[in-house]
Amino acid sequence: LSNICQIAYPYSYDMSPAIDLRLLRYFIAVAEEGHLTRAAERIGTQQPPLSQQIRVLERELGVTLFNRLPRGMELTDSGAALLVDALGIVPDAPRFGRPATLPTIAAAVVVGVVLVLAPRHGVVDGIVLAGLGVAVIPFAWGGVRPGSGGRRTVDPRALRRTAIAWAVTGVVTCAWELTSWLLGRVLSAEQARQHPAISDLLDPAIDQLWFRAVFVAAWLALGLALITRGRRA
Amino acid sequence: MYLVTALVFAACGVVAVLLWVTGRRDALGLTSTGALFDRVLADRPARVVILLFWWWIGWHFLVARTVDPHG
Repeated sequence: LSNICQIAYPYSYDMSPAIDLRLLRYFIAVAEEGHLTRAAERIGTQQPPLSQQIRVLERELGVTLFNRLPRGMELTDSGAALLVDALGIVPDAPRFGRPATLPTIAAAVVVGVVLVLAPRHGVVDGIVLAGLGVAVIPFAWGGVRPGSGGRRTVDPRALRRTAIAWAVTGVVTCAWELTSWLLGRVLSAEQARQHPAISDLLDPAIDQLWFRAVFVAAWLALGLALITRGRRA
Repeated sequence: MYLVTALVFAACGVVAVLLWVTGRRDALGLTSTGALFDRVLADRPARVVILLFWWWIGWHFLVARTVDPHG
């Protein structure tokens, strides 16, 4: 449990390295199911002892891992932080964020073909995008389902560095985009063409069938990654 | 200036690809982008915002006419 003890998450400050892996398994079950009764059924025990074990874990860590709500158990920030590491520590922990299933991939391929071949800005594209928007709502909203990269332990410091690197890249991109967009509105039309925004650069390219195919494929692949990550498959 | 503007965007894209590749190899003290997704998307508001942004990108480029072809 050295990773847990070294990281800066709130739950880890006073954490004992001798924590029982069994407690972590119970914790994972409750976090995944979001409900004590279902978690108890899953691991073959009763609700009262499971609830007691979760309280034992909370006492050992000195933090509250779950908010006890009428509809079930909701992870706190500390609980979510612990779950990320617990999934990497417990050897047979179930993997969240499994790869997309075959039917999902097949559906994405069909949607992709339609989006590539249908006239751009047309009714078909509009209907497909509206349908996709509705379809992802359950994935976006569905319960508190924190996830982890699976069985591999993630170094929280590396995770933080990665987050910072992506954030810096994103901020620079957005700042450059905003600058170009603003210049396009304050300069004359001729001068504004010298400062294209991302849309100005990509829009003509997406009119080309081959580039639209690349764009749609990348966009749908990202969507699949987003709905299968960070949540239970 | 057009070229400079486009090159900065391209550079951002290259950095993003490098971050993704480097993370997969656990090099330079970074971890995988997937692990980052897992952590960030564990939070419902973040998940909603990110999926909404993803959907908007599709809408923006495939459905909406956001660029005046004559402008």
